This record gives sequence, structure tokens and C-alpha cells, in this order.
Amino acid sequence: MTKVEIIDVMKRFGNVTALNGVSLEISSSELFSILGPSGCGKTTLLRIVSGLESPDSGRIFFDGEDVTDLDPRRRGAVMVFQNYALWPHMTVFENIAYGLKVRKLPKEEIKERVMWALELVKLEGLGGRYPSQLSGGQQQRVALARALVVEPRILLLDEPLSNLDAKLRVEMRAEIRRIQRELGTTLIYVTHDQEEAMSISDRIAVMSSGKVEQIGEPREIYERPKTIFVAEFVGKCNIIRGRVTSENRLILLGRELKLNTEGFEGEVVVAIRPEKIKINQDGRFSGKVTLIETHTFYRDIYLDCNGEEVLIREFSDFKPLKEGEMVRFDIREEHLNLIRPGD
Amino acid sequence: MARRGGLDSLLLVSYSIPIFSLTIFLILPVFNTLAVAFFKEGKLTLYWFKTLFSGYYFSLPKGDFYSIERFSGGEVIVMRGIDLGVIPNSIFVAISVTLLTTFLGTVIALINYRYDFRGKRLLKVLALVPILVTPFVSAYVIKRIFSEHGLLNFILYDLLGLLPFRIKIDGLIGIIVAQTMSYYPIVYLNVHSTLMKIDPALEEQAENLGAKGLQLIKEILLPLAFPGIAAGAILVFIFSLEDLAAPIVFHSDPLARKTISFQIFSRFTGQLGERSPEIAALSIFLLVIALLAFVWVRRYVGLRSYAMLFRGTPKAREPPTELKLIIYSLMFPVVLFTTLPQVGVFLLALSERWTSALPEGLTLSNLEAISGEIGKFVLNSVLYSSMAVILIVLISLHSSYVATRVRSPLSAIVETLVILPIAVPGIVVAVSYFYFFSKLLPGTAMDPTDPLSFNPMLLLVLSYSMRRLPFAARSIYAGMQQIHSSLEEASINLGASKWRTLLGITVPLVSLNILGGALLSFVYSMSETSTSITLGAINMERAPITAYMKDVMLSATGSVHLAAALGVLLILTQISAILVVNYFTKERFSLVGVT
Repeated sequence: MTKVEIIDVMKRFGNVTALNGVSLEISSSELFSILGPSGCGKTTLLRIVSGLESPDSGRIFFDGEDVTDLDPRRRGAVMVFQNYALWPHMTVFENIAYGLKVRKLPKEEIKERVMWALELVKLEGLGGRYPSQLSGGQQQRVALARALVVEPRILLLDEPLSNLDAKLRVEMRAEIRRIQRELGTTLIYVTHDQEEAMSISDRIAVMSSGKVEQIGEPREIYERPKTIFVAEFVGKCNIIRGRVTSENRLILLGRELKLNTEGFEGEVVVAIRPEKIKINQDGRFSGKVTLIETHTFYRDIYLDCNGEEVLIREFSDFKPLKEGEMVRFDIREEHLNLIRPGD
Repeated sequence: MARRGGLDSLLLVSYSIPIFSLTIFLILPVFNTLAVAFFKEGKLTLYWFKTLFSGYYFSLPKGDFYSIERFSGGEVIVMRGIDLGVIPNSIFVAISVTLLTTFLGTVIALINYRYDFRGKRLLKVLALVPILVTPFVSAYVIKRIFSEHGLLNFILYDLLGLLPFRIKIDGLIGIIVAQTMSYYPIVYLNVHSTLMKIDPALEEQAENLGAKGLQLIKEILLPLAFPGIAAGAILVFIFSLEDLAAPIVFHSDPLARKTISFQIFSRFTGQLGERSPEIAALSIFLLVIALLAFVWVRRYVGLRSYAMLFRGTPKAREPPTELKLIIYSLMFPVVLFTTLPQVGVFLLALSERWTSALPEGLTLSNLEAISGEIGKFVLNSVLYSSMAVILIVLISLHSSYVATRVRSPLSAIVETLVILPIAVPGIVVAVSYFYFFSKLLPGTAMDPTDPLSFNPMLLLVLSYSMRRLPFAARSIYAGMQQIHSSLEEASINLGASKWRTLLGITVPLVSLNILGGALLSFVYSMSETSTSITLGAINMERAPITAYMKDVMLSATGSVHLAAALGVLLILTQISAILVVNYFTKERFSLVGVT
């Protein structure tokens, strides 16, 4: 239940700028995700919050207290590592008890709290096993229990599910969410998987090349991408060139549309989610079908609209369509996201 | 509240221990020797090097490579080698041994790697037997095998009549043969472990593109195995240069005495009290040759070591018929022959006399003497070696910690420091300690100039720790490299101190590497020769095993059979250590300490 403020953090490794002025504010008890491709600096940021790495400049505050130079051992920001980092020479019990032993808690209390943690992650009865005797999912739970048992102010998860298979990933995702809600711990979750971030988070920060691109709630990030990077990294997105001719007038795919264009003029980029485009015999736009991809729950239809590629994703009411056919479609103005070409 | 950025006590200690111990106990003594060699009455001079440029040390080729001599049983061809003077002789011996062992070791490693044939496991085991070190005794057995009445002449001349003459080796050739037979497994093991790290796909791809046989070996396998070949070769070169056992065993031939290490040794032991600075000058010569070779190879190999990520099991195949013929008619007999010294050590230990081709008179009295009259030497050695192991583990642990965990120029220096002792010949360490400690602690029990009050314990413990450090340091370094840093970070992150993390997480995870390094450095401290037979022999009451064994070889009074009993003891401890290490780490060590 700790509020985290990250203010203008910079970090370089040799010639590589890992973080280039990152600022974030994470509310108390929030499940906050940092989403981005590998190498965007998200793990570095997490390690800086934990204290394993120190920033070249910038400050970190926990509940208003400047912890930038605080000994990492006293921060209470506990990390769950991508490879779990379970100590192979210790049992599950010993792994979980380690942080409590370090804190010199009485034996009885250690035992009690380890039992509580094992129950929390649903591993009752496995305390005597060694990590090598556990499945990947169980190891993940031990790593989580080891971090939670010390009652961290902030829990840091670094790609916690990347070593699990798809089915387990979905299951553990819900587990993490449940535990976080139950304990009310502030949780920072680093992932490159946009679906994971979408399903688990209260809010998401999308990062690229050491900078924060956009911060917002999952829906907002998805439906209102503010940069081309966010639009393309999070889900499929049509990126179509357009032009603002005068106030609230946008030319898109040869049609003039009326919508709020405040802050934009001249050339713009328009981001439109493919499922927001509907095939409609009375639609204002038209294009030639170049490719139809059929997936389990949806189909993707690629259109050529005078040289611009437009993707339409349909989830139901599949009408017979052939490649080469001309179709008409329509887009509601409220689903258009205007982006400056450089953003 | 504790703040970050203050003094990190673990790092401070981890840097200090290796840097200070190597500086004080290796570098400073060597620099002191340098000063001894270059100064006379406070003035810089080459005075002490004068004798090194006499005809005794450098000369035009003298003598014949072989000569025919008469003895009681008829004529014998004696091979000695040509005399070029002490310094070229040593270089000639070292280069010959290096070339021979490199050829033999590489061929055996390649054949074992590429081919499958009946008796392959046996060949692999036999090829490891010569690494069991029994200073002096194994060289003595080799000398006897090659003597006029020896086993070789008995079989080839008397029994089979294959030779028109009896043959005998002595002098430099004796040293070359003895060293080659003992050292080739060092190359074999190094090449073997490098080959095992090669991704078999590299070889398969070359085969797939049409390469085969010798061409494939020459163009793919040999270049990839080169780092191992070079590492093995340089070890052999330095071991040969510093070896004292073979020259001492063959010392009745004046030519065998004309090698650098023997000259240093005989001048050192031939004087009492203060030693002439000429010994220092000669030591510097030996050190420079070894260091140059070491630095050259390290730079060369450093550029050519290939990182390999993917491993698999190499597929061994049936050898072609002509190769099979070579394996069974040449390789097996040669390898079997190289195990004879170790066999001979056992036979000697169990016999009363050795006058004809084989030892005779079965007895257990030699082995029984270990718990009696010669037992004190064993106890001394065990004590010194155990103490050295403690130091070795302490230094290795800290040096490996900084070398694997902290990227800084200082870490690179520590990494180099801990392998540096390989390049310093043992006799140079002995001489340097002599001058250094007699200057540093005069009049104390650590002052070697007073034979009556001198206790060699501290000096031997220190010299063993320095000389055997590289082997343990390598083993622990390899272990630490394999521990993912997140295992330590997780501990720090949960609030443990760096010290607690090192002792509670890192050390238990590398415990097997520590065990392996400790055991190997223990057994090779037990068989250490150079400092043991010089500093260790000053006061025989406190002398280690090898000092007694040397006495036997040089004096008429001792019994070779008793020395062999000690040799058996050394062999058994080495076999146990190797078995334990292999059992726990499932890995064969690739660096071997000798002398």
C-alpha cells in the first residue's frame, strides 16, 4: 500500500541509453504494468525501483520518501525474477523463510508466516520439496510466496509468466490478480505481452527505447493510442494517412469527415482498430479485397483502397467474400485516433 | 538508515585477499630476487650474470648425439643428446618435450573423440595413468627400463632379438623421454575437453559439405581445438623447464646436470647460509623464459578461443582399417608403455631389490615403514598441504567472486594474478623465498639461512598455496560463472547483506567446485617438488615427503624401495581425489599439476 513516484530517471550502460527520462506515478495498491518490447528499458526501470540498479539521474519516491540512495535491502521493494531465482540447495520452505530469517524473526513466527504464504499460493504440503522437484507453475508460485512473505511495500514482477506454457499463463495471471487484490500490495508488473498487460492491469505504461510512450487504463491504451508505436505494439491497428484541411475537417481515404481536430493541422496519421471498421453496403468508403485470413474466432479482410491498405476484422456475420471483390465499408468518426506523423 | 554508495566491505575484502597475498607472497619475493641478481654492494651491475655467459652456459655443440660404449655384457648404444650449454640445453629439452607431448596428446585425443573401437575405454584410462605423480620414483623406473640391463633391452634384445645392439638412454635424452612419458596426458586432457565443447554440428556441416578424414581434421577440428592444444603445450613447456625430478634421477650423467633447473638446485643445496647472488641471476633467466612463453601463448590463444554455445554428443564412428591397424599396433603399445613407471612404482614398493630386468623379493616392509621411520615425512606433508588448501580456497573464492561478479579493470588484474603462478617455475619460487624471507625475517624460525633453527612450515605452506592456487581458482571460477546472478540478487533483494549472500547462497552453490579444487590442490601440494626439496630439505626433521624421496635419489644410503612406498601413497591419494571429484562434479579436470 505504497505510492511510487519515479521522476525523470536516466540510465546509461556504456553507449546504450537504457532509460531516457522516465517519469511515472503509481498509486497505492495499484497493479501497474510496464509494457514494451525487449530492450525498451522496462526491466532496467524495475531494477532501479528495487535498488539492484541505481539511476544516473532522477529520483524515486515511496510514499513521498526519497529512496533513490537507500540501501536496496531496506526499501521493501521485492522482486520476482523472470527465471524465479529459486535457490536449488534450499527446500521450498527454506526458500520462502529466507527473507524472514534475514529479518531475524522468531522461529515460530517464521513457520507460521511461511505456512500462510504457502496457503496463499496454494502450495500447502510442498514445503519440504526442492525446487527441482516442482513444475514450472509451482516454481513460479514459490517465487511469488518468497516475495510476499516478507510483506513488501511494493511487489515487482519481471516477466513472471514468460517461462510458462500458454494455458498456465492464463491461470497464473488470474492468481496474481487475486493475490494482489487480497493483500492490496502495490504491484509493478513488467511484460512484453500486451494481452497479459491488458487483462491484469489497473493501468499500463507503454515504453519504447527508454521512454514512456503512453500511460493509461487498458481500454484507453487500446482504443485511444497516442503514438504510432502504441497503436502498433498493442493489438492490430490500421495506420492510415490523412489530412486536416481546416478546423474539424479531415480527408481520409478520399472522403471528407467531420470530427474534432483540435491541435492538428496538415498531414496526420489516423489509427483505427480493425474491428471498428464495418463492412456496410451503404458505407462511405470502398476497397478491393486482397487477402482473407480465417482465424478461429474471427476473420481478417485486407483491402486495397487506392494504395492504402485497410484491415477489417470481423467476429460474426461472415458474409461470403472473394479476393478481388470490391466492398464498401464505414468507420464511425469517434473511432478515429489522430496522431501527428512524427509521434 | 544505511545508505548505498558507502564502502562495500565484501568487495574490499574480495579484492584485498588475492591482490595482497599474490603481491606479498609471489611478486615481491620475485622482485627481490631481481634486485639480488642486479645489485652488488649497492650498485646496479651485471656482475652476477657474468658466469652465465661462460662456455658452460652457452657453447657450440659438443659431444655426439649417441655413442657406443663397452660394458661388462658387451656393447651398448647410449643416447645422450648434444651439449649446447646449460641454457640452450634446457630450452632444447623443453621444446622437444613440448613437441612430442603435443603430438602424442593431440593424436590420442582426436582418435578418442572421433572414433569408436574396441578397448577405447581402456585406452582412455591408460592414457590417464601417467598423470599420477610420483616425483623421482617414476623417472627412476624409466631410467631403469632404458638401462643396459633394463626391461626394454631384455625384451627387444635378449628375448626377441629385434635389436642388433643394446640401447640405453641417458643425459638430456633421458630427461626428454621421462618428461614426455609423464606429461603427454596434460595435452591429451586439455585437447579432449576442448573437443568436447565443440558443437558437433560444426563437424557435421563440414562433412555435409563433403570434407572428410584428414582434411576435416586439419581444417575443422584442429583449428577449433587449438586453444586446448596451446594451453596443454604451454603447461608442458613450463613443467619441463622447471622439472627437477628427471635431471636429478639422471644426474650421474654430467650432461643431465647441465640444465637450468638442476644448476639452480645444485648450487642452492651445495651452499650453506647465505647463497651466492649467481643463483638469483640464473633464476631470473629461467623465469624470463617461462614468462615469455606464457605471455606469448596467452595472447595468441586469447585471440583464438571460440565461444561455443550449443553442445551435443559428438558421434563417434568406426575407424577405417588402416587407422585401426595404427591404433592397435602402435597407439595401444605406446600408451601401455607410458604406464610402466606407475606400475614400476608399485613393484618397487613391494620388492626388496631390483638388480635385473624386474624388481624381486616380495615384501610389505617398505609400505609398513610409512607408519614407522618415514611416517614423519608423511605427517609433515599432510600438515603443510592442509594448511595450504585453506589459504588456496580463501584466495580462490574471493578472486573468483570479483572476477565473475564485478566488471572492472581491477577484476581483470585479479583474474590474471591468480593464474600467474603457473608461469613462475617452482625452483624460482624456492630461490625467491630464500632471499626474501632471510631479508624480511632474519634470525627467526622463518630465516632459511640458519639450518639449525629454520622451520620450513610457513614457507612451504605459502609456496604450496601460491603454486597450486591456479588449479583451485579455475575450478571455483568455473562454478561461479554458472550461477545466474539473479540467485544472488534475489537474496540481496530480500534484505540479506552481501556477506550473507556469499556465504548462504553462493558458497553452497559452488561447494562441489570448492571440494574439487581443494582436493586437487591438496594432492598436488603433497607431491610438490621444487620448494620441498630445497627449502623443505634445509631441516630434515621437518621435511616433507618429496624431500626424503630426493635424498634417496642423491645419496647412497637411502632405499629407492622406501621412496616407492611413498610414491604408492601419493598415487593412492591422487586416485581417491580424482575419483571423488569425478563422482561429484561429473567432470574431468583439464588442468593438471605436476612436480
